[in-house]
Amino acid sequence: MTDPAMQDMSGWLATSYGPAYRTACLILRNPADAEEAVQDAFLRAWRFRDALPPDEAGVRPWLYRVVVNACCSKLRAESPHRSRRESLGDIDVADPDPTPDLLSLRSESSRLVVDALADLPEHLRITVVLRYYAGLSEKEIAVAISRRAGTVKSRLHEARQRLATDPRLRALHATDSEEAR
Amino acid sequence: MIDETLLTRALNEAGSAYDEPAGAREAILAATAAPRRTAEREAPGRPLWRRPLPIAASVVVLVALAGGALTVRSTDDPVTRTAPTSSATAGDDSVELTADDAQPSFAPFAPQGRPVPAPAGVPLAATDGRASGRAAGGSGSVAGTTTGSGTSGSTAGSVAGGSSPRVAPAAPAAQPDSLAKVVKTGTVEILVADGKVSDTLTRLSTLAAGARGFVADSKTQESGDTPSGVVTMRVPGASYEQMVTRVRALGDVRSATSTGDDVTAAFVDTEARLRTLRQTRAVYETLLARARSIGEVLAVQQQINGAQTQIEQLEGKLKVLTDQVTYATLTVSVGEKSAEAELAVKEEPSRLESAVDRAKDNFGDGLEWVIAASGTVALLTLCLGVLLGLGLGVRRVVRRRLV
Repeated sequence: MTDPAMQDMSGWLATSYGPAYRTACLILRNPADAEEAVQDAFLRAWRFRDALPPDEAGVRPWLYRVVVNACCSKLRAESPHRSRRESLGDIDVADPDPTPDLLSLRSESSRLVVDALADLPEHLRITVVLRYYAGLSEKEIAVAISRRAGTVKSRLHEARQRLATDPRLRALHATDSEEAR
Repeated sequence: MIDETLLTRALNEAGSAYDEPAGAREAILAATAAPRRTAEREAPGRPLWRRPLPIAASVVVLVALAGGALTVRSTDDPVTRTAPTSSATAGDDSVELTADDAQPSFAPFAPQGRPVPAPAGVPLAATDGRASGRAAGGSGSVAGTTTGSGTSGSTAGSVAGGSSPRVAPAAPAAQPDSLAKVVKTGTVEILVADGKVSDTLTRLSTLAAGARGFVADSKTQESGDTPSGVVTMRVPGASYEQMVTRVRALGDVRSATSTGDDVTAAFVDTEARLRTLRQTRAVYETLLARARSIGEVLAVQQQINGAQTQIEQLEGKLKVLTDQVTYATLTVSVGEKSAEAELAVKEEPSRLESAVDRAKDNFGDGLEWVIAASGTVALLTLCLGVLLGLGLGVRRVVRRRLV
């Protein structure tokens, strides 16, 4: 690859693809969908690279904004299929998430958190993932989801409240508190 | 309230369990190597008025289009210019645009998101539909012929030596320096000397074979004493431009069109969908092995069948795309110069015919005007009648009172 533009893109992919892909996985809970969404996001980002913020600090939330938009498109497109699959009955053949490999890699606590996160509404889930996985500040999240910082703060508060009252996480919370003592 | 540290730790752990898919980055790089055909409609972050480059480009394009339109109007050329993306008419020597001509002036994307100055003359890996690369051809064979609807019924196959339809030659090697997938199609209309149509069709078959291509369809027809023929050639994409040049040299070019369609995104998308569906099918197959009841088996089998159907559809689509990218399609119409001249003479009406035509038009226009005006006349007559009646009534009443 001799094209400098392609080399730049390659470097950008090397630094940003992994975090973006895993963020999408946590939002969508489906690696295949996440792969498509992130691919779409990177292609879109590449197409609109002229619209990049001039300051370096603005690039990260801009990228996540594109990724989140791609994930939202995926969620909207997939929602009828998901609901149909979920109504299949006692065999949960539709959820590709808990593959054996993946389950073995996750600890019990992370699995519980991810399960509880999956039950959160989409807008809360996205905010939580951006804050606690991607490590974005509230201001950056506000840019990424096109909302005010105050909205982000209230969403995070609501999400944490809901997670705290989730029965699956109560035991975990208690164990963690004991360990802290 | 749940502890933030716990949340962060759990999410990091969950996120790290997802391995990056193999080949995903390469797929993105491949897709970005191809320039986009469509206009940039949505740009997150910056409003349109803060982007001077697209505005300036739009102004330049508009000015160029206006200038082009004026030029076309000013030249009294009877030959029509019909081309979706690029076209040429009689007298034009070249229809091809090089990759440099179509190269967008985007600044490359820096790793940290900083745009850096665009390097001059960066070679593109592909074309955007209007541009095309340059390549050479080889040798091949005629693949199939179809009898035309004309009276002669001769086909290109028989012209070329009566060879029976054969299978298309092995696909040429993929272009190693190009990641883009472009479907090229074009048409060329040429006029040859009287009695040379048959020879030209033979020559076209030979040219297709020489470029490792084949003739996909061929029709000849003879209306009166004027034979003509249409040959649809499939030639390797890399040899397309050279083939167009050679075809144009066979006679006088009446019109020519060339179209390139960048299908890289569709390619990458289809491949990704296929990969996903195959993974899904594998999961279903694992579940099928674990199924214990007939109901479970049937439910999973249904899902496997659905996935399999989609896989086959996508495989078919990919195959068609591959074929279209591998072989460009060039349709060549061949006619005689004298036939064209006769047609031109016939098409020009005499003065008497023109006068009759004008009389017909004027009669129609007049009739139309009368019918349209009759409504107004009828309404006016009605109003006058009513007024007259009222007037007479009033007059009668007044007279009675006076008496």
